[in-house]
Amino acid sequence: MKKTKLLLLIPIASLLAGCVVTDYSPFKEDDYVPIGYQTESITRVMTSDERGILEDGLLRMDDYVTGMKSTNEERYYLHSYFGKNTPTDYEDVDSSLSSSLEAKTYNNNVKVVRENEKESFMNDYADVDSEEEEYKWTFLPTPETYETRRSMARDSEDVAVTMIDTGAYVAATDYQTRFGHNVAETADSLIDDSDLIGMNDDEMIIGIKRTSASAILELRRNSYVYALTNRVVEIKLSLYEPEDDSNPFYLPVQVREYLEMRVISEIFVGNELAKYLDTPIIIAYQEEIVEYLTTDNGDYDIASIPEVDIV
Amino acid sequence: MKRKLLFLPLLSVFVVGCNGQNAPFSDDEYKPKGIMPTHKIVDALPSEEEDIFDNTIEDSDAYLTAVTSTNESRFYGKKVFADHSSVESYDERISQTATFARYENGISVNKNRTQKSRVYEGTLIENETKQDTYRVLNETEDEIEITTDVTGYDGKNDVETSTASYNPLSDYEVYFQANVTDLIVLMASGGMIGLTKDKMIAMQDKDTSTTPPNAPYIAGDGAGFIVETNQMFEAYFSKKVDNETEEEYYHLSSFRLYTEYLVLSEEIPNIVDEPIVYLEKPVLLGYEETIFTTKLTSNGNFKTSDIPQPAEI
Repeated sequence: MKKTKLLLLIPIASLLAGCVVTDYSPFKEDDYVPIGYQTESITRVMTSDERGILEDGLLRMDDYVTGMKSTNEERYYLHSYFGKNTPTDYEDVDSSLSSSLEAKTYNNNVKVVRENEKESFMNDYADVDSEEEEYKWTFLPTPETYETRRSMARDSEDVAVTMIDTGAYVAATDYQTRFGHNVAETADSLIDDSDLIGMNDDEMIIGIKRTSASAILELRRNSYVYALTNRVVEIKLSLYEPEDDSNPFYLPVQVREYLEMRVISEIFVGNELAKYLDTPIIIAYQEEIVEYLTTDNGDYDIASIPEVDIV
Repeated sequence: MKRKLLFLPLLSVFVVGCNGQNAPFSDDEYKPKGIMPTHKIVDALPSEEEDIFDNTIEDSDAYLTAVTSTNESRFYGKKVFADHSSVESYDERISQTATFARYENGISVNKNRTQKSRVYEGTLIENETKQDTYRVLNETEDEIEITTDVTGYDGKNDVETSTASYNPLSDYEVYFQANVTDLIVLMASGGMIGLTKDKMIAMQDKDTSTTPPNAPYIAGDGAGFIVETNQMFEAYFSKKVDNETEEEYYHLSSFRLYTEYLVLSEEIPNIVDEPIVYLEKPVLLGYEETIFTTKLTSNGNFKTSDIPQPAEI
């Protein structure tokens, strides 16, 4: 059995040992390099003045954010890494997901969200790439009603436009829900949740939360492996000076979440001593990066919103 | 521990790499296709093709003029556990074929054959059975004659003929259609679906389970072993155009279900907290492979003189 495991480990080790996750990918042309759990350095504590400006900004920032961009990259290599011992809770496929989202709010009460998603599945008997592109338009057909239309295209299929939501609209209470980007809610929650908060060398506020948990993954063939899950959430806020107000405030410029799973031992069976790897190997990760924008997007040409073709 | 070390090379010599060809049955030439699917899925299923499939598959059995199924199963319980056998231990081979064919002259024929061989220590038992059914519609299409030709495991042959009233609207599917697709589509639900490079719709699924250490596979002498069961399902559907309506439809092209049983470990030690020794290469304990193939072209006319007649009393 010892020989078996050594034999199994050698090819894996030759492929992966000493590498970071991006050195190993079963997916062709995968050039994404995650930032990983490396975060900004906090070099000093926040002053009470800076904390006051931060808190003041939470009440104002939603009025100035006009858009957001996000990217999300997910990779799962558990199938090719473990082979016949693939964990019982995972499918027998490696998967890759790359998605991007861009949302813009226009001055004439129109919000346009574009989302693109590329997904790949791969194993011994399937090698499938698919792509979806979705647009969502939220607008006011009358001053008291809103409507959301969606166009969806998958791979080379024709675009289908549907109406996915409609209802009453009251500007005083519904604007943030329909046209906003919920920046303050996100920022407040992440700052509250941060274990480390302070200033970096560029005078940005940095909030960081790091969590780590080790677990024994149950694999097929009555085997096990030690795995470590690491998660980092980081928010960066920089001082923003609005054109219409002389009081600057801190505005989130980036939110990033990184989650990874590392194998830290050889595969072992019940009553067998687990052997820890010299170099842990990353077999899955997810990284999402969100940026907020304050650009004036002008007016949107409502006539260019496509007509619904599926009821 | 020494005994186990000695046991392992013996197993390896006997069975490692064992498959259909290396079976205890000297005339066994069956080579299973095995656990890997025949075709790779290379594209997601486009909505348009999914719609055609959904709208036509339910009635697609009507296009099939013949369906053939084969089932081959092998079990090497005596050979694999040579050092752990009892007088009840055996190796077994079962070969089954079933065909359905519809002919132009109002006749449909089912033929079923089963061969079984079982080898105990010094004892070989071989059995064969067949059951053929011939259905002949009369000229006015209101009565059908059904002839069954059965040869049992005891070799006794029996031919019987009966008649039944026939209503084309309600009875055609019963007597002249292979009703296989619904069941296969039902079995496939939950698996992976997509397109092969030949633009067939593929439905595939794999499943694996392993006997836990506290409930192992028990060999003839009571020793426990870890056994893994791997199952693979694949079904392929081809697109055709209906000659009359010129509408596109999908029909079942082929289907395969393969199940294998692999011995993963040496004998489970009867010492508490002693790790189980897993084999470097699993040993094939048995397999079962079922394959369906279909045909859409005409079978012509069936020679009624080929239908056996009951013996006169």
